[in-house]
Amino acid sequence: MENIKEILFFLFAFIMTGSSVGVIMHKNPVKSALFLVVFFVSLASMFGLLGSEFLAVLQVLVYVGAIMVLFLFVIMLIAVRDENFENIGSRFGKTMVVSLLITAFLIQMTALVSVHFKNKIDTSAGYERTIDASANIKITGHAENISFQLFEKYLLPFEVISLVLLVGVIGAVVIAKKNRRKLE
Amino acid sequence: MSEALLITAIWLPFIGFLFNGLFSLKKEPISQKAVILFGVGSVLLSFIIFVILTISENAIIMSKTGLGAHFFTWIDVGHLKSDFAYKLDGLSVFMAWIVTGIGMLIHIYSTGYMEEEKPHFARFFAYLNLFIFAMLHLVLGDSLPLLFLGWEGVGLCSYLLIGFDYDKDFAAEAGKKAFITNRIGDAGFLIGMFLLFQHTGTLNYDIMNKFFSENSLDTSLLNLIAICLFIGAMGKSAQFPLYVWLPDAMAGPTPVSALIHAATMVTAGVFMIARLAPVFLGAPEASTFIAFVGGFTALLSALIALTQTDIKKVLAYSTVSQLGYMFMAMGVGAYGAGLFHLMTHAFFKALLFLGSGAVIIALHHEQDMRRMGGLYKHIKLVAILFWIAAIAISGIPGLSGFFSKDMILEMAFTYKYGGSILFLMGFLTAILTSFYIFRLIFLTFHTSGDAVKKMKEAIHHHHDEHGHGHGHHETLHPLRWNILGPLVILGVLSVFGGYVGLPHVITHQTPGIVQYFDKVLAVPPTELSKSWHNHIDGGLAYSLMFGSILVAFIGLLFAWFRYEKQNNIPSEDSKKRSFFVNLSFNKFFVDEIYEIFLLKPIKKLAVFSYKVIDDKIIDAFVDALGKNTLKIGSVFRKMQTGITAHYAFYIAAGTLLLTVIIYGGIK
Amino acid sequence: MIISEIPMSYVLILTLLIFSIGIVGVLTRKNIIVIFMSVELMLNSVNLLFVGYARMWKNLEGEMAVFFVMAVAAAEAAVGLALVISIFRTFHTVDITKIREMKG
Repeated sequence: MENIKEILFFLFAFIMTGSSVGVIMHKNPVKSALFLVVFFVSLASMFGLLGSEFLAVLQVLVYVGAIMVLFLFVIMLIAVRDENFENIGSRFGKTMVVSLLITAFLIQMTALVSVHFKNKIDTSAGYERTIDASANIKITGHAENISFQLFEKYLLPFEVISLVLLVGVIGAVVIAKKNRRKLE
Repeated sequence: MSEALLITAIWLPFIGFLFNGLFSLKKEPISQKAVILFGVGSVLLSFIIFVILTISENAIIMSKTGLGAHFFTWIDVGHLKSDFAYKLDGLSVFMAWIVTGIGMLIHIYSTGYMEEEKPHFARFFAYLNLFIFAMLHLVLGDSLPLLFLGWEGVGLCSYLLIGFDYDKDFAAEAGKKAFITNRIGDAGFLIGMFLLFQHTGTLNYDIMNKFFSENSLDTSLLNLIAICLFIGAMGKSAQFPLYVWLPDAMAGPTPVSALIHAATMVTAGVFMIARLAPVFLGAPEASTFIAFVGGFTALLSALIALTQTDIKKVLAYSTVSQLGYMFMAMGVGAYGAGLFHLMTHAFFKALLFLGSGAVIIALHHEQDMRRMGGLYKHIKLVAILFWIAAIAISGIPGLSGFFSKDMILEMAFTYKYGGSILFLMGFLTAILTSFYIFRLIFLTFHTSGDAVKKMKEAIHHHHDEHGHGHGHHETLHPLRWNILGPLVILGVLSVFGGYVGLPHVITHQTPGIVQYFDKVLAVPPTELSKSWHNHIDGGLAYSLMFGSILVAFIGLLFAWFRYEKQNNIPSEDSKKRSFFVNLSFNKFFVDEIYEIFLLKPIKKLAVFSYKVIDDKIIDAFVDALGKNTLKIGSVFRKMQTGITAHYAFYIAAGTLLLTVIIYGGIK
Repeated sequence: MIISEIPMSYVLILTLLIFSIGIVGVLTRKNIIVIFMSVELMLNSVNLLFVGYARMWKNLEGEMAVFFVMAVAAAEAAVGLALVISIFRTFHTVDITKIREMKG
């Protein structure tokens, strides 16, 4: 299996694309959320495939373990009612307009990517256009390297981000609480 | 110390204005005593300060630069620098005495005259105080902008006080007429000021005087400036053709007529010419023009005064006529004589007005002389004082008016450029003055008629017509000390005020007042205008003097003959009047001529501008602008759907567009 | 160990695709929660891009960025979902076409 990585890449890419389409197309938000879980898991696999095991684990822990639980919690709290289910087909015209626009965007960006890689990467030496996963694991794949980075170079941003999380938590509490008091 | 005192004296009336003005806004009128304390007290104190300053700082005040006081910087732009700085020199101290002195007397008088106007008492004194404040700026400012500030300030007060009874249409109209007529003059004044600034680079008197002593401007330019400034004086000092507002200004309360429209404000033009003596003395042609305008105004308004039946109207035209005399004097270069007449006129005309005010108030606001007569029996003191003032104004020797008027006539006679015509106009005016003033006296105080009886009849008549009267006035309104006191003081001044200028033929030296002004003005007028005059010997001067005495007595005798002997009370029926009497009675139809040739075309133009230019062009344009903006807005407001997805769509589309613009060109 | 290479352009195009799907979701859906999930899709597609480039340049900077993005996304999800609850309490709906306070 010479190019098992490539096959795996296509597999995960297919799952990701499919599940993300599922997220935006399914009329039941609960099922959309489940599609999103699938997406996150395959994205974690993709990270692993690209050589970032640490991030792959983190992805599962944070997104699937924390954020998606929160999402499902909220969905269960407010939105699992039939009247909240959208009839996707009834909005066909609008969806077409948006999809056309996005297709145009895609074409534009793809053209840009191909042109960019042809002109910049291929012609100039010293630039690599492929990702050598196995070589990278030694340098960057270990949690050890990441922790060195995190607690030496990125110490201040790390502390700041913890503050951001704290503020986010307090903010969430305040926002959700304010209206309840008004209601009472 | 003395600088601070000077500023205090000028700003004291402003404190009175603030106090009275603010309290006049209250619905409940405040106590008259408080109003009097601030209103009269501030002017009295100001007068006392001027007396003290004149005595203690005499040497500085009499010097060329005078006592200066810098209060604060007002305008400082480029070369134009104007401060609230004051200058108390020989000329301004003279004016300050007149303004605060006579002003104070009239304030005291007003406490009696206005005491029945309870709701407007504080407002009246607020305006009077503001007037004194503005007038002090006019005379004491050390630069033309400050003079102009005062000039406009007194104009504003004049407007406010003419229209004091603003619920009466004629008063409101008269106020507007005064204001608008003055604006025409002010335009000229401003242009003159601009020209002066352009060519001398300053508006400060001291710097300007220095400039004129070192440089000389082109005579034709000076003529232009002088004429422009004189146009301003025409408006403020009621000279032909802008005199029409002053007679109407009599709609204001009588103390106002005495203070503003006789003694002080209307003499601002004369003061201004004296202040800018270097300009006017350097402009001989403009001066001739001024003299002739003055002479013509004097004659014309004296002719109108002959037949007026409203006691205040007679005095108003008399004022215009006397102002004409002053300008005649200024025009022929006799600044001392003009300012001398300004002073004596202030005395006797204030007395005449206050006297007429006393008569009016005694008769419960009756102003028509045809319904007066025989008042001598009832109010002797007023009658006697009225006689004194009349003798003074008519030029009967011994009293103040004789000296000043005679000096003007002599100077006019010797004037090289048309002096004989000027003299003739002045001489004729003198006869007419004497006649109309004694006519007024005979009609009011003498003749067989009895004002008290007429007043009763008028009330009964009124009763018959309307069924109800506004109160029963069977007796004269009593006159108290605060009305009679100022009258007596002004009477004394009218008698003796002339002795500061005894004529050359008696003392064989230049009259004292002329010497004074030669000393204190920026340039000595007598010396500079010497070449404008012929030499006159003693004999001719004597005969001129006797001539003017003679005409004064002729006027007196004729008035006595016509009104006392023949008892010829003017008819109310215009058909019984002769053509010339009618012409004079209707003021030579000047107002009507203005109406036809000036007002109507202007009104038409205004209506045209309003209906066509404003309504159809400007308004249409502006309306279209608004309407189209609304239309465009109503198109674009549809974009604001309130649906978040639409906004997100715009963002995405914009990003795409940007990507295309930025990267689309990569080959 | 089988050494294989994944071309960077594959990663880029996958990223683009998912990002575009996310945009379509944001623009066409009415349910706030689904829109929110679509935003998460877009966010994660960018994460993928970061990782791809980090691998390509053999550099940890990109991965650190992903780490911080995840942290911020967690905070954002907390606040965002609190807002959703608040909106639902105020308007009694999560349909954004019915919430038209910004209508001009």
